[in-house]
Amino acid sequence: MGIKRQQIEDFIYREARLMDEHRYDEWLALWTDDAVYWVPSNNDELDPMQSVSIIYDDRGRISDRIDRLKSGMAYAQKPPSRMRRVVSNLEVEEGGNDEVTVYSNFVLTEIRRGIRNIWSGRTVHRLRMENGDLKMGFKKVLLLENDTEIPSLVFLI
Amino acid sequence: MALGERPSVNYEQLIKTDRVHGRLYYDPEIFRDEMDKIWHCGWVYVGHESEVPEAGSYVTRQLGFQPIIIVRDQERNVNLFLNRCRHRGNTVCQHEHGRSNLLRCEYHGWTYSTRGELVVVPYAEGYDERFQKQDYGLTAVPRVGFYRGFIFASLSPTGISLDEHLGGAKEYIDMFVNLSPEGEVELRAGVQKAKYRGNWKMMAENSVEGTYHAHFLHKFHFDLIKARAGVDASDPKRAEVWGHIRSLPEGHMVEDFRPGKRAPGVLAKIERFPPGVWDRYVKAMEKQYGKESAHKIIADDSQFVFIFPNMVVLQTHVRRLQPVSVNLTHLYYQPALLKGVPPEINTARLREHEYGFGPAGFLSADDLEILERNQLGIEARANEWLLLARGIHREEIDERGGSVGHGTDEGHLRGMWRHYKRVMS
Repeated sequence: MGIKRQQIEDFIYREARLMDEHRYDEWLALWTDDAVYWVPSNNDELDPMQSVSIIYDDRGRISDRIDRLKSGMAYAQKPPSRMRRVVSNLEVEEGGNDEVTVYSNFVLTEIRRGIRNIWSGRTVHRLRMENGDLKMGFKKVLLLENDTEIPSLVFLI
Repeated sequence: MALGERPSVNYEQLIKTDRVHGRLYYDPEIFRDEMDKIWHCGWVYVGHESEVPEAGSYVTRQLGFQPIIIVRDQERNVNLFLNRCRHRGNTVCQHEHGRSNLLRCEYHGWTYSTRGELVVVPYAEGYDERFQKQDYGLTAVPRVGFYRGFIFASLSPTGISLDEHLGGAKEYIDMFVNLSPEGEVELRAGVQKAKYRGNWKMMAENSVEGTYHAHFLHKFHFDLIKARAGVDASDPKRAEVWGHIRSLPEGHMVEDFRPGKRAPGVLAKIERFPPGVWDRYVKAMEKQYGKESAHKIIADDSQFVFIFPNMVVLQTHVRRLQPVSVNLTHLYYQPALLKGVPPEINTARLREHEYGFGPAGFLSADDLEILERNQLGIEARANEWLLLARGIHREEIDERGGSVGHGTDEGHLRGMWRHYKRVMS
């Protein structure tokens, strides 16, 4: 495999930290141009072409999401959430074309306006090398909460 | 005061023509009174026939605070029952949706047909001759009504008909549904579930008020539309851009874009359909409705509608409000798929929906935030009136019995509160 496990772990942990710290531009730079960012609703396995998701973004929409967060007009992040997440249970699956699929679990504590929310779930990343840098072309977040009533989800998950 | 007796609320003192009192949003006593008089008495939107497509398909819902089952029987009728076993009161159906030809209570095995008849009582010899199974069927919801596939229910055996309740709102449901060349929408694309720490009426008031608050709260989204679709709808002073805000009898509210220059469907143009898809849709519409009518239906698109007390029909979806407590509300956003259209059209509707709506949607997330701030704000107990006076000098009485005003006015809210006061007093 062209991609070492250490590189993969570094990438996954760094991505988590960038989300926790609202480092929007650096996070955006992790994506490939053909990116898909998917947070399913109700059920982890529904077909996004036929069922609604909580988030189903292409690269353009990921950029819009970031522009919005940076604009000062994403009111659900004014003031921003304080967050720390723990990412663990990493499993790596090699694919063709120097692509790897990474499975991990997370627990995220979010505090905003004195209210603590615990978010948790499993993430599937597909990573590949692009011009010497590891990038994510696909990220699917299987929220444990995706079939329950949740507050607004505007921070990066 | 005797046990169980409640102090009566004087709604006349809390609801004036041009303002309402903050207590209406935070007083638990008023909330309980609303559950009795609105949610456990009047017509409430509970679901759509497409959610129970097959014989035996069921969904469980709440009607006010009461658990209900919506189930399709073998004769393909849709029945509504209280989700309560006639034996000891256990819930009979546990899942939010499922399919079963028999509904069996798992506590003692009492089993009901999809028509609600009690068909199995284990160890029936334990009852004497006074026990007759036909006396113990599931309790039917007293009144059920259907309109264009949407299911409404009332726990009161008497009252106005669903037809009277919907009144002028039917025209707007028609517009939404007629965008399908088969004249049917389907709520089978899942649901986004959300909640906010605020009173349910705040979402009612926020839901079809986009024209006034959009330029502030949703400015980013408007700017996006401008950049993507080349439509600048950002100047509220250009009155010709704006449509009308309407109140309808029975507390319904409408943001009617037709008189204005802006069609709400503009968001759809953000999406780029593959070649030929749009033409195929238009052809299917023409075949069904005739060329002229089809073009008018497509050009009119749908308007934004709130149907009292808990249904929002808006652009891509149908939204259901479910009060939990005086300051907590659950929301269910269900995209409406158009039956008989190229699949790409429905997929684009899903993507358009996610862009704006649901817990991570660019519009909804800000709305949920602003409603929570609103609930916090009204904790300040001075100058407790919320002003609803916009456009009071320029609204007209609609021939349908409601009011019509400028798109940024609050006549629709005054109309909803007039209805509320009538029901609650």
